[in-house]
Amino acid sequence: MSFDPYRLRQDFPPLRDGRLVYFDNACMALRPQAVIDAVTEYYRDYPACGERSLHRLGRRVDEEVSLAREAARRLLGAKRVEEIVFTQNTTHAINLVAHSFPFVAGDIVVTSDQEHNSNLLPWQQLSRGGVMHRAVPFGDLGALKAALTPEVKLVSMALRSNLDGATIEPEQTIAVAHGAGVPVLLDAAQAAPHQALDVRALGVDYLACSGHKMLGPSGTGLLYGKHEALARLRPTLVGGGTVEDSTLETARYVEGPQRFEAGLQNYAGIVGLRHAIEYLERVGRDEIHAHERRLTRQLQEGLERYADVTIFGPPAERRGGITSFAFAGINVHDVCLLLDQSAGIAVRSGRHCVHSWFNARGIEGTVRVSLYLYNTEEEVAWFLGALAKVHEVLV
Amino acid sequence: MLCLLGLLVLAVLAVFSARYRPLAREAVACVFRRVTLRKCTTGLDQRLKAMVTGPLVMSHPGLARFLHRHLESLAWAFVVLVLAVTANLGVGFYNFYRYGNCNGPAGEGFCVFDPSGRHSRYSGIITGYRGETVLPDDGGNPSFGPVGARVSIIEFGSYTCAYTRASEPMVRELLARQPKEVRLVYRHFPLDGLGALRTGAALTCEASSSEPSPLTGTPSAHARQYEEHAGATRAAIAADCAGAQGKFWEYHRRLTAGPDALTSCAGLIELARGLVADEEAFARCLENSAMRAHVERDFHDGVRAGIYGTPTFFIDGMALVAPSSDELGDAIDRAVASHRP
Repeated sequence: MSFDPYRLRQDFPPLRDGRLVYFDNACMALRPQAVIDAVTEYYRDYPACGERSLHRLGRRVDEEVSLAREAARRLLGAKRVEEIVFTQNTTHAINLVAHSFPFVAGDIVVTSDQEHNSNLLPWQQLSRGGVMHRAVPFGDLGALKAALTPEVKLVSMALRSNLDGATIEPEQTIAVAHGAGVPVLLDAAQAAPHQALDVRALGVDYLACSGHKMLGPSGTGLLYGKHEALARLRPTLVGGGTVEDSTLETARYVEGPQRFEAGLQNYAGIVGLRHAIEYLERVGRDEIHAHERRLTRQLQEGLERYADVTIFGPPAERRGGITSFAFAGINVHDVCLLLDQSAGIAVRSGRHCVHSWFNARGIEGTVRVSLYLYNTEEEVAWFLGALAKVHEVLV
Repeated sequence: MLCLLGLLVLAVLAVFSARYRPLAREAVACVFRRVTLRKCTTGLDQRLKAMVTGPLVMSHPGLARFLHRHLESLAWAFVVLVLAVTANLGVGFYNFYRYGNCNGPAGEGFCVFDPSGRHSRYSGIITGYRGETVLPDDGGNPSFGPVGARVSIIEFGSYTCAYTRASEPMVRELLARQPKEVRLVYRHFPLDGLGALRTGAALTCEASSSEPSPLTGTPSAHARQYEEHAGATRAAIAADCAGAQGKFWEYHRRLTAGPDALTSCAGLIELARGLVADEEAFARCLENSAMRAHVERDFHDGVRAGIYGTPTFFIDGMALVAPSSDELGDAIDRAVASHRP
């Protein structure tokens, strides 16, 4: 079907009355009615345990979880469903790798210098066990190559920065790391919802993303792990559902991804995530990506008219749907608050959980506009008009 | 200052709903930082400012710009205003509790706590006048209760004062609680400022004039006061005339019993019918100069005592202006206890 954001908007209840302009998709996407219905259906029709109960409700949960895992496999282009682990979000997925990877004291993890706290703090935490963290400039392959000393055991990078939409070259990054024998974890929270990914083609070892940024329910996320890469991880969060058998002294863990899914899962969220993925498949992520690039160009042209504006990150065509900017001498939170109060426009302001990058540069923060499939050219035009008024008030 | 304003509002809302408690905590943190001369870091002030100016941005950007720049100053002005109003409200509450009138002892304005004016307990006479504050004696006036009672209460009242009339049953009830210990002396403080006596005019049963008062204050204010209480002196003389025939307290009760003041000669004579033995003598007595001199002495003793409203009670050297039943009862009990052998 042809891509029509005006038709798609009707699927999203918060957008139906036309009073909300939602430009905070890098934080949380809106959910289509299909996802809301799927979550409701779980609670209404089969609100039971998965992987445990033999009754009809339990079997229905198992079937739905299986369908969701298959949908996630398709979304990421994984070879097997056993390579898909359900998590709470990207942060959870990265922490899962950080605490399950067989690091030893003296090992080093390399990240970029523009990582979300979710891909920074887990590695800082490991320093208590003697594992060190090293940061290289974002997207600098030469610096990455130079940093890959024998002590480096993992490269963990954001595929696309949530700060300014800057995107690394994943194939080259993975090739450089693998050339040094180092596995790669990609934080795809800002990429997976907006563009097609193929983990097999990329050859990435681990990939993490969030359900709530791709039209799915809150509290859902995915960790992809290449079969052999996943096998290297030692489960650290264990309990119900992670073992085949146990005695008072020993436990025999399951072979599949369930060994990383301790305790009862967010079944309603997982079911909803499946419907979100199927929605994205129907729309097409290539179409979404192209749509966002069109809107980003329009946004860029509007912002460039201001003499006192700084637009962060690479040129518009390499920023995905994220645009970060700030006006000289104007508080970014004031811009955000007035856009909301005056024109019903939801944008994000501040440091976007990338405090380290801002602190290193002495920058207070930015206003971030992040677009998605349901945003339109009219909305961008409305935003630019409102921004002009807000600028007039604050300058 | 925006945070302080926010705190005032949110503190109230937080009492009723948990929804506002995080915001109230932010406001507390913000105010604390500001009073310790640090910048507010919660962002609450920015949000409040945006809430006020945001709706104006699209339609009136100039006004939005002005408000956004000066809202802090406007908030300061508003806080000062709120504090002033709050202080004024506190004074009003105190006055209402103390005098039954939120405008103070001699206030005549509208009282928001008592729109009907029903709770006011005395009639003022002169705004701000405090006299010489000399303690009065009984002035040889008729008394109620045993002559040798340990405690004497001296009441100054005016028969045109609705509160003097309303307090009469209360006073009688309190006296009845300790009939052997307490004695009441009633003295006249006619709120028409002695009416025609002020200028030495002949005392007749004609309407009294409203010349300027011999007391301090603005003539116009007094004129209004005297006009409202015209005939008070004549009623006081009538009570003394009844007293001349041994019927002061009976006539006093009749004068204080009705809802309206009775001040005309005909009405006063009618009120004495069946009570006094010689009604003709009573009618003549209303123009008697000796009676007039007695009322005049009472009034001037009241002025010297600093009376500014009726009824005023003196008990053991303490003045109570329009006390409540509890206040007067407590004062009597204390006085009786202190004079007990």
